[in-house]
Amino acid sequence: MSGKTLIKTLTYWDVALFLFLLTGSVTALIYVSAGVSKGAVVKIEVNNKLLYRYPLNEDRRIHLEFMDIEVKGGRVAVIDADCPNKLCVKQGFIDRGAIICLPNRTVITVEENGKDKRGVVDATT
Amino acid sequence: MKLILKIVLALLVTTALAGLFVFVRHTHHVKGGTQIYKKTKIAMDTAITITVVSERQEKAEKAIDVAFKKIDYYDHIFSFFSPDSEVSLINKNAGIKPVQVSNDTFELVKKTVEISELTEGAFDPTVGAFMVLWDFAKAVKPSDDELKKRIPLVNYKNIILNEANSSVMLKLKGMMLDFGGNAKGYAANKIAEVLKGEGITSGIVAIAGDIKTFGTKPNGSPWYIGVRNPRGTPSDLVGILKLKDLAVSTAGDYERFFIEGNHRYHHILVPQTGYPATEFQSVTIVNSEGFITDSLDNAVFVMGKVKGLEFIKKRNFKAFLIYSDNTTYITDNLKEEFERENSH
Repeated sequence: MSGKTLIKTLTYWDVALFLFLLTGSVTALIYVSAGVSKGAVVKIEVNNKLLYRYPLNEDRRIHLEFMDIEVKGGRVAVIDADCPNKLCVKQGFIDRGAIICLPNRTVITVEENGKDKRGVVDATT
Repeated sequence: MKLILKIVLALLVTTALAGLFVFVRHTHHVKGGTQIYKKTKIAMDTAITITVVSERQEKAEKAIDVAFKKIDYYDHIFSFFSPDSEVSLINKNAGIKPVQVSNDTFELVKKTVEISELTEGAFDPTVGAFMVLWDFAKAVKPSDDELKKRIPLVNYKNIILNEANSSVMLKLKGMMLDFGGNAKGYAANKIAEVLKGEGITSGIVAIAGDIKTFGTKPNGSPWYIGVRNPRGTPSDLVGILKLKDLAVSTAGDYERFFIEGNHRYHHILVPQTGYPATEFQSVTIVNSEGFITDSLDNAVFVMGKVKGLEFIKKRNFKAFLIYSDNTTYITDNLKEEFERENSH
């Protein structure tokens, strides 16, 4: 059967089947790739050493000797710390950027695929 | 038979199109692979974030590593607290003998003395003698007497520089150099040069609030630098500066402080008294050189409202000021780069 005869014998059902298959596979691909790129993680570093790395979409509490950290609803916060000014606690929940506690030499960063998840600003003075 | 053939053909075409979709996405990702990479570390007694634009992750990571090694080196020679730093050696030998130092330390001391002259002592690196009496984390405030006794020890004119053998001496015993007020800005510029040497054409070196930008973001736009609200959380901004190849520093009364009896005691000390300066909440300076921005934000903070503004205007410096009564001032030459946040 030549290509021409094949096209001639195509029915509406054939076209519908083809479109259905195409839509299905493209949707699946988009779904999978979006799912992969949504892999934001929380990194907790103390003294410039990586201690923990958790997905941002799993709620949990992390207890360090000097600090309590909570991951909840895709955001992270320091909920308690033993430093004097508690700037880290005052910063509240973040879903991008970083929380830094200098007295405890702790850096909590939200990252996406190994890259920094960008906020409105690139740095703060 | 016909039906099976049609189905197989439809499946083949679908697979081919889906494959093409993946291929296009992938090649687009590789081609448009210029990305922003960031790393934050704690060094020089503060948080340092290096941001680079690179087409390859390995290149970005290598450049950032080299930059942090250089920061460790500066930390090692400039540190006020580390007992074996070059600055500590100069301090230990105050009133005793000159100390031969590296070119980096000699350059920093020399440039700082020039800044002290320019600002008529509003910036003075020998403020260390006062600084050691305060402990802002533990809310320790020295007595009037303790401070008064040390006033003669704080004077940049008693720094003796010898270019011939690259040595530095402090004339009086008990004098102390402290570059906490400007070594970060100095280093930010130097680190930007290190990154450029690694083939990075755009990025940011942010040593606490002392920031040097170079190049642009991947989309060609300037870097957005938030200016903190002195009475808000660290992510609460009063405005955004859009900078290309410029440095910025902010001296703020919120960085290291304690509050006692309704009075805020912070780390920006007046070199002539040893007490914190009182007329600003923050002073932000923009210039091409980080050393200038970091030295002058402190100097203007110390000068106060009238003298500070006069100094800025006379020399056409770019500045954004937040006075202690919460009012603000921006110089005309910075208005184009500055976008005010609605909240303030």
